[in-house]
This record gives sequence, structure tokens and C-alpha cells, in this order.
Amino acid sequence: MKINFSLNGRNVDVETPSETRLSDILKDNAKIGSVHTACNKGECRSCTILFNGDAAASCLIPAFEARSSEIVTLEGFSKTDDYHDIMQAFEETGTTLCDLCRGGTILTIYSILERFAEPDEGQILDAFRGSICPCTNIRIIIQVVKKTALYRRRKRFGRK
Amino acid sequence: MAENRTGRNIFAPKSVSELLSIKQQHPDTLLWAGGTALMRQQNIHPSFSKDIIQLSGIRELKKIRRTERYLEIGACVPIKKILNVGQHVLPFALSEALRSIAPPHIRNRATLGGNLCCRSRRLNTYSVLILMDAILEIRKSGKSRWVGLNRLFTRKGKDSIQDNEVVTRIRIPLNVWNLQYFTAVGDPFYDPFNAISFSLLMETHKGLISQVRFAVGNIGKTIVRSIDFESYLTEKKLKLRPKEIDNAVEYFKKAMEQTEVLTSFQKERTIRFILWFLHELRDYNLFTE
Repeated sequence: MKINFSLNGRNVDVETPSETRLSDILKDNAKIGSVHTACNKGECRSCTILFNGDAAASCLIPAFEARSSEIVTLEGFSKTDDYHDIMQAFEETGTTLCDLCRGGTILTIYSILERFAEPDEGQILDAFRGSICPCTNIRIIIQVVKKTALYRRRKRFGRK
Repeated sequence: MAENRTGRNIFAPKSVSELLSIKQQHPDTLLWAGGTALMRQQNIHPSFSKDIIQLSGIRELKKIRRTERYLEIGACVPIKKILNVGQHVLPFALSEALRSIAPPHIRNRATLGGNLCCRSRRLNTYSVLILMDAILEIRKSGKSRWVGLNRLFTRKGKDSIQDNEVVTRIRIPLNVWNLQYFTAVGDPFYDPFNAISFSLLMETHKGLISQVRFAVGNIGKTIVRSIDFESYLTEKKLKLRPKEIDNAVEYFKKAMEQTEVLTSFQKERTIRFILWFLHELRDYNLFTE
């Protein structure tokens, strides 16, 4: 089947079987480097994307569901101010993410902050529940989320 | 609207009436809501042999309505949207059950209808909604009927939905329960033989238990509930005596032996949970009147 969607702001047409996983399309057809296909069960988060504005596991989305959708991957997100806020927080905590979980972690942090201006620890832990990558301690991620939330508040409202 | 490229039709109706007429003409089609459970199950291609009806374009199935007596949720409302309804509207046990389904990046797409109608297994919200007397609207072309969730599946796991029927709405009565509790131990997808969930609803009046409902869910085809256990606890005075706690546990043990759906480890977890909450009730720790 032929599907058309917006990928990082540009229109993409792909001819693919209807049941193909979106993660496979992004990786193989669109050559998106930040999307990995590891578990294919939505557990490892290495294929996380922003699907119509929400963080989603692209391995759980079949091609036919992606028709006319708006997809943002880490490549597209890295051009935004929000990305730089998150990266600044990571730098301040002295942490580097591994290539496998980088996209999933950053986009998950973004989606938490879109939902909660000042997320508490429970909300952050809920968002990262089941996260299996051992490269970064969850305590550091909690710090990063809280720091990023602070930068965003400062930028938007000029307050702490 | 049908597309035929790879020998499989993908229908994308825009309204319920269009959906029902497609289902009438093609009863052997697979309804695709969020698809999160289906996509997790299929690791080997070609995965789906059936034609598919994609439900994501039907707005009527994505509505939430609230009256004084009940909450009505469209079958294709994503879990995320239901959780956004708010703590004061959503019954606490249901909200906990929804939260336990999966992390947010899956909850964003998973739907309540999908969670309830998963044929191969009873997922987390099923036991809570049974205790809450939830009913489902099932429609087919020119007809609709309401069915109690407890009648949706038989004990052997066979569902009562005909091939040309579709679940469109879930209606949840908003009864006032003094105590609502839901907890899921382990993740049913990662650890199906040990994961288990406990749902409890209780109403008390002047120090007496006036109504109690308790169900144990695992990933199997049915849940465990004991009417003897519930009726034994009804009208008991709070601050249960040790003998009463032992008797209540015995009633639930019998029910677990009769249904034979739990593994020995799950049974052990269940007994420990019952002992824990009955002792907590004795100490008035779980709620204040």
C-alpha cells in the first residue's frame, strides 16, 4: 500500500505492505538513524517517536495507521529549543546517553514536560516505567527532567 | 473505503454507521483500535491474515460523556485521554488500573475498548470494571444492545460478540465506594505466569461493611471472584477478628481451587494480599469514615 505522512516537517511517500511496522519504515525507507528496532514490543523505547504530538513506540504502529500522520523523530526534534534545554540539563549533570536509548529518553522527557509544567517524581517514574537501558540511572533522569522544567519556566514566564 | 494493495483490505470508516455496514458485509474482519496488544503479539510476518477495519478515524467512538449516575467512554478513547478526565470524575480503582496498563508511550495509543475486548486474555481494567458493574453497548447494523461486562466472556474465554457486531461504548456506574483499591504486581506482558492484579471495592456504614467486591485477575481467560467470600464479609463489623480473617481467607482459597486459573505462586500472592488488606482494615489504616 502507498502511504503518505509528514516526517520532520516534510512529506514522505512510501510503498510498503500494510502491516509493516512504522519503525521499519523509518529505519529502512526513510533512513532515520535515531530509530532502532530492537524488541518490537514497545519495551525498549529505542524506536520512540512523536506521533501526532505524543510520544509513541513506532514498532507498535502498523503502516496503515501512519497514513496522513505527523511524525517527528529525534533528527527533527533536535532543531527545536526544547531539545537544547534538555541537552543543557544533561550536560550539567555530566551524563551522556547511549545511542540506543537517546531518542526514546529525550522524546519521553519532552512529552512529560508538555503534559506537566512541574512534574513530580511519581510522574517521571511513571513515564520511564519499564525502561530497560542501563546506561543512565533513573535518578539522573529525574534531575534532568526537573532542570529542564526549570529552564522552560524561566524562558516562558521569566520566573523560577 | 477499501484499499487493496497486498491482498488485504484496509477499511477506514469515518462514522459508526459506515463501520456497521462494513462489518455487516465483511463479518470476518479484524477491528483495529490502538493495536498495541496485537502488535506486541505478532513478531512473525505475515502476521494478520484477515482484512482490517481501522477505527481511529471514527470520532463518535472517541467521546467521553459524564452524567450524575454514570461515566460513558467510547470504545476507542485512548487510555491517556481517559486519565486526563481527572481524579474527581474517574473512580480511583479504575484510574489505577488504567495507569498500570503500560508506560505512557503505549497508553497514548492503547484504548479502553481494546483492553476489554482482547480475546486471548483479560487485561487489567477487566476485573475492576466487572466489580463496578460496567455495561457495554454492542451494535450491529440496525440494532444495538447493552450487555454486562460479566457476560462478555464465558468461563472458557469465549466472547458473546457476534462477527457482525462491534463494541461502541462502555458505561460505568458512578457508585460511591468508601474504599477503592487496585494494584497490579508484575507486568502481565513481561511476566505472564507471576503477574497478578487485585481489585477491591468496599462500602461501609457506621462501622459495618455494607458491601464488598473483590476480584483477582491474571493474564488468563477469566478472573477469580468468590461470592461466598464477599457475602461472608458483608455486615461484618470493622476491626475484623482474627477468626473472621481466617474464615474469609478459606472462602477465597476454595474459589481459587475451583477455578484453577492461578499458578501456585499467584495463589500465594493472593492469600498474602487478602491477609494484608483484612489486617489493614482492622487497624483502620486504609481509609477514614
